[in-house]
Amino acid sequence: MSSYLELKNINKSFETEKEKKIVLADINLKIRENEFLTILGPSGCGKSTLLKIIAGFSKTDGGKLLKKGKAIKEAGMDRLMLFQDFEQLFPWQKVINNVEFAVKQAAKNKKLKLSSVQIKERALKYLKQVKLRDYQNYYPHQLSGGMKQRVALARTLAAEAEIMLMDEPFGSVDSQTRQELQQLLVQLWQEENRTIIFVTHDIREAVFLSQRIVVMKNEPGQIINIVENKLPYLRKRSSRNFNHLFEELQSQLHS
Amino acid sequence: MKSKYKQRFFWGILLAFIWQLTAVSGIFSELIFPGLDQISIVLFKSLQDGTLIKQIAFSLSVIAQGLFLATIMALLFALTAYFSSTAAGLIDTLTALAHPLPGIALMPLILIWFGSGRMAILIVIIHSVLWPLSLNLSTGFNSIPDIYTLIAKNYRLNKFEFMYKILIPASLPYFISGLKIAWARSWRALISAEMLFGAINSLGGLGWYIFQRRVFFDLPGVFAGIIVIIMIGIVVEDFIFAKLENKTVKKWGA
Ligand SMILES: Nc1ncnc2c1ncn2[C@@H]1O[C@H](COP(=O)(O)OP(=O)(O)O)[C@@H](O)[C@H]1O
Ligand SMILES: [Mg+2]
Repeated sequence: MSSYLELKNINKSFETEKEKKIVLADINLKIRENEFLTILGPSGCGKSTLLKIIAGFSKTDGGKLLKKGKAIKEAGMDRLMLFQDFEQLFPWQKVINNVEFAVKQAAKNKKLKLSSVQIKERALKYLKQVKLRDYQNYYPHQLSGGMKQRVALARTLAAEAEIMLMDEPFGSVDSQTRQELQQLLVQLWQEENRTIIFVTHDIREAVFLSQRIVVMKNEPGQIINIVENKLPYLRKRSSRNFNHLFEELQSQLHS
Repeated sequence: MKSKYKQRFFWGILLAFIWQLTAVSGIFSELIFPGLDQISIVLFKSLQDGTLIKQIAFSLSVIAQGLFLATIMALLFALTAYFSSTAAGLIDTLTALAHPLPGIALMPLILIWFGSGRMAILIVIIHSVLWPLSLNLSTGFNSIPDIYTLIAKNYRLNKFEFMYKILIPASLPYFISGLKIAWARSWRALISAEMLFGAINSLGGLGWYIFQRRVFFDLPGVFAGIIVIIMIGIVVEDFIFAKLENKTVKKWGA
């Protein structure tokens, strides 16, 4: 099977005053087109670093990053990052303008000319998908954390990226909202084909969301296992199989 | 907010009352301590016959021009410093040298180099504003969250787009507070420069007006000028800047 996105022998270390710390050691990973992949690992194991490398925000010390066989050198709109930080929205713009920002940049990138009506229509479509159409004229500071993340999700969707990179995007919202957002994300992924690479340290989140789970360990950050998750969508957190997989992953993480 | 104005109004009335009592009591000569009645008469008369209006218009047009030019220059400085570390070193050195230097210390030099016209006043204003404003802007630019620069990379914004879509709006709170400092400093610099540089065709601004009233020992006239200066200061700070903040940073939840 030809791989869509391929990470080959990725290494990354950071130099501090005293020591050189190896953060990622020999990461090899093949990612399939349109799959929902989670990267699961304890805090500090290098998940964010890995995602930033895939996004093109930071360089590797060695190794290759290939998309359809071609080396990726810099950041681009084909791989869009959704952050955990609520500050990723622009506070000086209304919700609708925050989403329009992505529509405009995407159009410009594809050398498409859109009228302001078309831009607004597209932005509204994505706001509707995250169920925030009625909040289009709010400023970000008037929204709850969960709503902010939904706007950020709408903005990422509006850029129509092939690959969405998500760095614990629901990590700072309360657990009930988090479950709603997880469900929304699965639904959106099923409606439109996209590749999602989702980073989390929450085992249940990984089991609920993804088709494959990449398990990482700490010191140095390494992949210890890749688990296929064949549970049918929409997954029930209370089901026996769900909890079985949860326990299996838990024992791997703590070994 | 409302109670602030109520309080100011109350104390203002009380102070005016005390002033007037002192004036009519005759403790001081009328010549050096005019009553509010005299001051208001002179104020209204000179507003009416246009002599004061002319000076107000002159001062406001010079300060507007100076602020405008200095803001453009400060933006250019801060942007250049943001995008080039070599330029940042130079601009930092210039700022460190010029910022602590009071504008008034430069006035003799400016008189020799540029004479005493509008140009000279403009230079004093620009000097008093440019350095603090570009410092504030630079601080603003350098304190935008890292996440914005990542987003800019991700959405492939070019330098120009990054500048006007992110950098400037994100640092607007710093820009506005810089402008407030700029206004306060340039307003003071303007009044002193006008006193020193005199007038051309009897057009020398509010500072010159007050100075000239003193020459004629027209104290009500001096006070009329001072009142106008206070009023303009209040209007700019409490109305223009307050409005600017309400329309921007306050609305954005700062
Ligand atoms: N820019 C950096 N400079 C130095 N060390 C870093 C930097 N970024 C991350 N690290 C270190 O790399 C390790 C992994 O960080 P990170 O990728 O954020 O982990 P995770 O997202 O899995 O919690 C941590 O020990 C962190 O301190
Ligand atoms: Mg992280």
